[in-house]
Amino acid sequence: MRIPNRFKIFFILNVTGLMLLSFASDVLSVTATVSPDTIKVDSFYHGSKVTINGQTEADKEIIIKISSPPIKTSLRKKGKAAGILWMNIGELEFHPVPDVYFIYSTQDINSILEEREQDRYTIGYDAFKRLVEVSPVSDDAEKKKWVEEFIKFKEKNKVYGVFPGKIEAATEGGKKTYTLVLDWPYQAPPQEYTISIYAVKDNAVRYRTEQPLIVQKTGALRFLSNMAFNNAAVYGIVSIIIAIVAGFVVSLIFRGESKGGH
Amino acid sequence: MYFYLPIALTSVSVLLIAGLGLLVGLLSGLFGVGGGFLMTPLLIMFGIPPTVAAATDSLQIVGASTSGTFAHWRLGNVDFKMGACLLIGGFTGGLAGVQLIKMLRMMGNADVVIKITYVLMLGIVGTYMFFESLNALKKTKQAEHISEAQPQAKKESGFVKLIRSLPLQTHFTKSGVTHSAILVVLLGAFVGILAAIMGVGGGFLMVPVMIYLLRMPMHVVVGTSLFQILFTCIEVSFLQAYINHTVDFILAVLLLLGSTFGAQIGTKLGKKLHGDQLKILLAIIVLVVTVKMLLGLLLEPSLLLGIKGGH
Repeated sequence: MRIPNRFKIFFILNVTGLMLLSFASDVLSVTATVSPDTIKVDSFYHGSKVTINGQTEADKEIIIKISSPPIKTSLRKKGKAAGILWMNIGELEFHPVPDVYFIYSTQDINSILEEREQDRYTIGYDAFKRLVEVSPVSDDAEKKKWVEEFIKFKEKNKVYGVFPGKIEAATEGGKKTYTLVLDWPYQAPPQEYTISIYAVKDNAVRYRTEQPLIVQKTGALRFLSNMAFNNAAVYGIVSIIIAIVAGFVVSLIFRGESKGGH
Repeated sequence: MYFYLPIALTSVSVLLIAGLGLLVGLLSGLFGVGGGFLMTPLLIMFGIPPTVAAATDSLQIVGASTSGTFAHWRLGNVDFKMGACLLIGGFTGGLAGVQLIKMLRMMGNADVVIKITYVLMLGIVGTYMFFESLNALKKTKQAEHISEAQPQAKKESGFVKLIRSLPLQTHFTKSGVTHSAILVVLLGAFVGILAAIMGVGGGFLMVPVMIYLLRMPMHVVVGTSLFQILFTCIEVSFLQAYINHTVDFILAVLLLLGSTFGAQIGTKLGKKLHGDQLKILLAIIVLVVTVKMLLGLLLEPSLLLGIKGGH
């Protein structure tokens, strides 16, 4: 049976409209503003304050994940050599792991989101531990131990953390307004980060939105960094000359002092 | 006041880093050591990645040793001829050491051998210097003057006779000693090999070699060691910047703020101290570092993972 063209067009328009409506409702059901959305790293940079706020429906809880793109990371592992000496005894490769991973939520994650959903969006350390592969390890127990050590290592460097109850929320007129003010650590390297905001209900993610956070080097800092990598020979020579001149200048200052003293 | 470092990618307190520089510069001016064995672990402790800490420290030593060498040269304490011979040996030994370490690593478990060698060397050198200087301090002032001014007047051992029979006997006027140039180059090479294996500048090994094997007077030892360290560190800094991109210029400048002044103060302070007093102080520092390293090897660390690179 041949379907007339006008019915086809009508059908396509309807489906598209429904999709757009669903997308619009998704976007409207959790909003987010990140301020500032770009952090300029100059010579005096010592971290920054970042505010994330927005709205969702009154009955939803909020989870915010901040992470960098997952990569492969190699680290030295310490262990006992010759039975008594603690030292580096090899390397371990972790994959996929972001440089930075922060989870903030209005409540404890396990009480508002089921395991499957945690895994789906990699929310929380439990999901993280299930996702990450470590090599070389002999069994699951060893893998678990090293993933835990990895988290400990990253937390010590202030680039990983899970903070339940850190997001402030207020409900008014059927809408929930949330605010998160966080101290962005200077240890987080300059790159592009993704801030994912999840509106959660009945143990599942209902709505989701994403915002970028760009951390970038500027000014003299950027110039030096580019020079170190793109003009390494010049950078090396200039650095050495400056170090020698500094040594001489200070010597001359002290010689002046000595002469004055005598 | 904080500064963000373009290569280390971390923020540091200017006062803290300049203070560290001052402390290590002081040691450098006093004892003629580069201070890498002290500075690099301290920088790592304050959050600098190990590779950047080791590379930047070498650039900092360039500045501090320029300052120290210049100050000692003005005091007439640099034996350029001896320094040049040791430098030739050190450079060759360094190249050989790098190859040797590659071979050791291929044989496996080399790191244990290296660490044990490091701790043993530090421990032996520190203990020997400590007791030797303690005994010397106990002697009468008169006896001390004789032993420092005329070390060759001591009873000659078989070893001394052997090295006296080597060809190319050269008189090093500034140090007041005569040795075969071959022996000096070989000793330089020996320190160069060990320094390359242990990943350090070698000042703390070179100083005892100059004192006990080359019988140089302590004040000339300090100036000559600094002169030699200056050239070694220029080479290392350039290679680190060019090949590994791990030299952090800002970090080096902050360290230099303190270390160049520290080296001058150390030199002035050194003038006021007797050779054996200097030796015993250096011995104590070396022994403290040895104990710290031993504890690091024997106690379980709080973190079992670490960034690659460094010592």
